[in-house]
Amino acid sequence: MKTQRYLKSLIAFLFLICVFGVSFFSGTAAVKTYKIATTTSIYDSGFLDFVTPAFEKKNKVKFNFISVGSGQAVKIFKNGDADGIIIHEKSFLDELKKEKLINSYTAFVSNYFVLVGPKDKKDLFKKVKSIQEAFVLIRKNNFKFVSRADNSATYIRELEIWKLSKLKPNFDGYIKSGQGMGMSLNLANEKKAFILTDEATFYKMKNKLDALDVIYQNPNDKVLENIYYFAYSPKKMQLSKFASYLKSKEFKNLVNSFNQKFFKKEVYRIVK
Amino acid sequence: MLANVVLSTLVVCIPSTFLAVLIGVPAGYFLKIKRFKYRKIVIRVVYTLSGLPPVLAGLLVYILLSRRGPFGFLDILFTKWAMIVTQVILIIPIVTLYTLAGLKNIDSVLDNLDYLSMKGRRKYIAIVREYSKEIVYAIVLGLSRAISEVGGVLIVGGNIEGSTRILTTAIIFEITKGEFSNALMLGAVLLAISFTFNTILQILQGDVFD
Repeated sequence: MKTQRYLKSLIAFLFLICVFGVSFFSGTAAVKTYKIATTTSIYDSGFLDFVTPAFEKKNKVKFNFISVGSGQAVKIFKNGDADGIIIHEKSFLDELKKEKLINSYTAFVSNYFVLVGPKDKKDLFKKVKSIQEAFVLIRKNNFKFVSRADNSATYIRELEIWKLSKLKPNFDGYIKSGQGMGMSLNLANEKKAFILTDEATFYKMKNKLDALDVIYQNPNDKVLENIYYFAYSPKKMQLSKFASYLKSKEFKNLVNSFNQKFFKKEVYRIVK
Repeated sequence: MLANVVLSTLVVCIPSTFLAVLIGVPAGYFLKIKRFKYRKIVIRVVYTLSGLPPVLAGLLVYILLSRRGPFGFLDILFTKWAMIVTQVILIIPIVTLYTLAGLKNIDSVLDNLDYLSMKGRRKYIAIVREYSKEIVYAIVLGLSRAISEVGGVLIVGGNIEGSTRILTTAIIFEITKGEFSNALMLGAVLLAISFTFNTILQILQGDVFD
């Protein structure tokens, strides 16, 4: 049975070779690849994967998105491990600008932060006039509140609101998840807790978050505005093309069709 | 999309296991038969490293491969290469440790080979033959670790769609989006691949080497 023996090792060997062969050469065509560190919210909502292919195809480039929290995204960019960055915390970008790691940044879409929480507590918040008031009410009643407690833009904004409402988030109901937006929403849903989140992520996941509903929203409040920015390394000037694409009519149309397809209403808004 | 994720999984896990076995088996053999000053301490280190937390390995590789790190010039962070490096680091101690434990009666085997006056390459081929079952088992262990690992490859790979997204990191990604049924489906695929590998290796172990 010697032949059978060798046949089997041969099959195993060929299998290995095949895997090796297809490996690194697949997908590494002659297009220029750029790594873009992005915040989780705008990537996990599917937005970036929806609006970039048209640009990639036309300009023969490929974007590799690394979706992490804003804090980590900045770190990755600072270390030079990414060519561009998409985040929604302006102070981080101003810092990068000061350090001359970027020349400028482009605001391209926005949505709003909303307070979501357990459906059965919605009535309690009917008379609430501002996000600060809502936070005060949560703190006063010691309701459960999930905080991402990471270095993310959402968390920074949450802390800002606590500060505006002149309260410290140090009550029993305050849960620090230390995880991304999606996971934190899941946690809030299981614990029937309140949480500050961006509209897009919430609406995208809404059918899985049966216990939660929007408790407070206010499109006119600046503190709840959530603007996404794109910036790139001066060493990668070719990316300026992408920055101008984000201001083009084609991009606007794509944003509209994304809204229609997934939300049936305007969630991502073009920033002028 | 799924095909791409599966392919990436294979492309990362098979070479990393292969490399780890290539390094780990000789290392285990060396530790078993050679007597040197700090042998016991080295073995203890190998024991410890066999339980190295993947996230720690990921962090270390990340720091080394980052553009600001000592190996930044390689420019392989957030590529499959970085994932392979991480997994090789994780698997080598496991393979080494198993080889160390698996080489029972090696002294008498070596005595016999000496008696037959086998030397050099022929001697090592004979040893590999004698312990083929143990080596295949070491491969199984390494592959299992590689295929189920997620913490390290997520850090150094970045979970980039179409490039560094493998089954385990894709599962995490689906969970963060709350898509539990997708995650479960990917988990089933992962188990199926693991089952296939183990079947192939078992056939090799049973039929080819017996």
